[in-house]
Amino acid sequence: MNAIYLIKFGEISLKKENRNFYEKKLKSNLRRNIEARNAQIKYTDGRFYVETPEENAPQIEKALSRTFGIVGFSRTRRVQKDIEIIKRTAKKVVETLQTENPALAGTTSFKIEARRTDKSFKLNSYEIACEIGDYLMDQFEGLSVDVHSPDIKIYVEIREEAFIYGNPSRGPGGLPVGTAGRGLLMLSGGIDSPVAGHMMAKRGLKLDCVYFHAYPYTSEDALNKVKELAKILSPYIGGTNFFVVPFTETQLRINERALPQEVTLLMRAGMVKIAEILAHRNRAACLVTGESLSQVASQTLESITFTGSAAQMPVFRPLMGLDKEEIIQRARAVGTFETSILPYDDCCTIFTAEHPLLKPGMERMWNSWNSLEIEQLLTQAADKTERHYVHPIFGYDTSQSSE
Amino acid sequence: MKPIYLDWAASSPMDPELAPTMVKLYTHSYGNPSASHSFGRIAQKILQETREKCSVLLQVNPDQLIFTSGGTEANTLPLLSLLRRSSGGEIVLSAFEHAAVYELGSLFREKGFQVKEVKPDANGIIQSEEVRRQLSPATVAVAVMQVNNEIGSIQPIHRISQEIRRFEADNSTRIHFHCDAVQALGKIPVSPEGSGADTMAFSGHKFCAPKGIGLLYSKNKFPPLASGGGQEFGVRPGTENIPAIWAFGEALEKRFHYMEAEHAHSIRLRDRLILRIEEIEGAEVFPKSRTNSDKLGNGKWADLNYSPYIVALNLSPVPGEICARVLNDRGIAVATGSACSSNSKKKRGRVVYSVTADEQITQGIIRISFGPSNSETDIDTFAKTLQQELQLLRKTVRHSR
Repeated sequence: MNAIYLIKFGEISLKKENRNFYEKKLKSNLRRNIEARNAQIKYTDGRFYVETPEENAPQIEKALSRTFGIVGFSRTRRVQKDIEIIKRTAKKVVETLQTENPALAGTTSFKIEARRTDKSFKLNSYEIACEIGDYLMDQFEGLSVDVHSPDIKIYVEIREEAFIYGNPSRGPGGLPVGTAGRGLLMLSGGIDSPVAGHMMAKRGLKLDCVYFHAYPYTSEDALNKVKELAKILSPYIGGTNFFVVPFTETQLRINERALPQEVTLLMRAGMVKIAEILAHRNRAACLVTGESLSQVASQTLESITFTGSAAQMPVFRPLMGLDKEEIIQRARAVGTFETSILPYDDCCTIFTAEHPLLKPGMERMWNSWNSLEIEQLLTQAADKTERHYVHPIFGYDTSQSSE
Repeated sequence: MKPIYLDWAASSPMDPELAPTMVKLYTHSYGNPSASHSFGRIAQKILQETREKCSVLLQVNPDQLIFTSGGTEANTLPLLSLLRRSSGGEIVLSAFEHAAVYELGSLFREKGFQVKEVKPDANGIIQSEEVRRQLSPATVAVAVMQVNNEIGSIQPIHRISQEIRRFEADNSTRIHFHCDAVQALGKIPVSPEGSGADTMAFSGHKFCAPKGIGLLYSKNKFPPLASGGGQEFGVRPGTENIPAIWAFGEALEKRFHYMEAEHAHSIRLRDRLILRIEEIEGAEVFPKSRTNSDKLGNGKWADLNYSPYIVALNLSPVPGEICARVLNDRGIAVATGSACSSNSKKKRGRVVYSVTADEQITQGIIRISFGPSNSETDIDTFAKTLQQELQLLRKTVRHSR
């Protein structure tokens, strides 16, 4: 038996003149996220359906809940256009809803939403609703009709066959990844940056990830941790390129020439500059960071003014107005939290000053920057950057590793 | 360049001479020692003979030796058994016990016990008076390790047990004294009975036996944690791993046979290391006082306060972790902190921190541990490489201060 899901879009159905563009993108995103799992996308009567063998259903549901642009999806039962069979199926749908959500068991209200596009079916919509409603009232104790705000909604559609489904599961919402263009996420091993990537992907950005590796000052373990974070993000962003920048020489030059209290800021500026070079090379038009206002010294208004001025392209910082606790909640929901809190540091303590600048002046910082004479090292770092492709389903391809 | 292995305290290479017989035992003598047919009898015989052999080497009764799956299990069984014998009370642990013992503390706390810690002195040694200070009529158990696995210090186990027994007599109480001797067996003299401990834990892979086999000395039997077929006097049920048990006995016999020679060899390596380290700017032996003590000891093991097999080096302000990484890239394997906990930031450094209470020194430690197959050339190569790398790393650190 196959499992069938009816997919619901939210916002994209509002964008009338572009609807086709959004739908096409969603469809191709969805295809990449599920097709390797032996699932098919079908489009009938202005609706998307996903059909898959029963044993794949849990994985497909997971993929649906991670494909931006989907606001909801309902497990749909397809049966013969026979009212007796339809009634029994409606009963099953109620049972499933109640097992999945115990709050719907016991005393609950319900409503039947019936629709008949096949006018040759002998009952009209109203009659279908009455028949099934009466039957369900007989079958379940504590079930009552409420046509205005029911707890359970059973949808019955009579088309080429009969389709029956209940309340939809929540999808991730947002816009299909790629509809807003391409960005480069500056990914570290912390809690914040994966969340920032998730948030921007939700607004339709297609993202690649960049990590700055300062071996031996940061460990292979730290690199692998960030690699794992990119892998967790990958299903949300329809696969991603994970770039590893060899950052040691840049780091050492900054460390050697700059005042200790300026090191972190100059390092951040260097990262932004390298990220911008890579973004240009990979047709990305913006950078994304996990910065949150005043969370640390390098994220004060003055610090961000400086590090942000290192880039010409826009730098998106979706966590700007969130508290740490809110970010942690989101990280848990995205599934990156447990990996982010692994102990491997992505910045060596010897490069972190005890008293970093909190309110750097622009002129002072750019003068310091110029004295680093570092542009060539930045280009070199970008040139030596390794690329790893992360497939949304299969993760890293171990046979292909660098470019 | 051939890689140089200086992490024997984490694990030693298995003696290759053991392998052929082990394979034969696995493939031919596969009977269950509890079975009464000939296959089982053969296995039973090997088990008995090995237990006999170990009992002679350790000068204890055969029925006081229980084979386990390794050091962690040998440490865990007697201590966790307290949960069946006592309904509460106080447990005294040294602050630098191996995680296998130390981490049991939180379980005991959970179960309503009070856990007290004994801090080492500045030389990294647990003094018996400090243990005595923590005892109370409510004390049910004390655990102090013989050789510390990260810094090599040797605890005065005999004096500690004397303090405990005296306290028992004065207060008519009964205290279980457990000693983790995993880093001691096969390297320095170990006397389960003479130590006065109630239980003592050993591990095979620290002295060239295979991994997955350990030994527990227990003066008296205690209630087991697991139920099952009653093997190992009921204390550790489960079908015995005969090939590994055999190998444990063989390796132990070999270590005892060569102990004086290997000990002398290790002292030569240690002396050479200390000499070389004195020439390296930014590196010193930890604890610093150790160099005097070791020279005083003059190689006579009865006088030693530190195992000559383990030397901790303080490289601060250079983080030991980074230095170990660089050394690894140059083909030299050393440890930072305790290898068993080096992937956990919170637990890392507990041992050294308990001695110095200095965060920077704690971060700046690497551990060198040798074995019989290391040579003085290994030490020289290590020291030369360390000197080169440390010079570069110190430059980086200097800039950032």
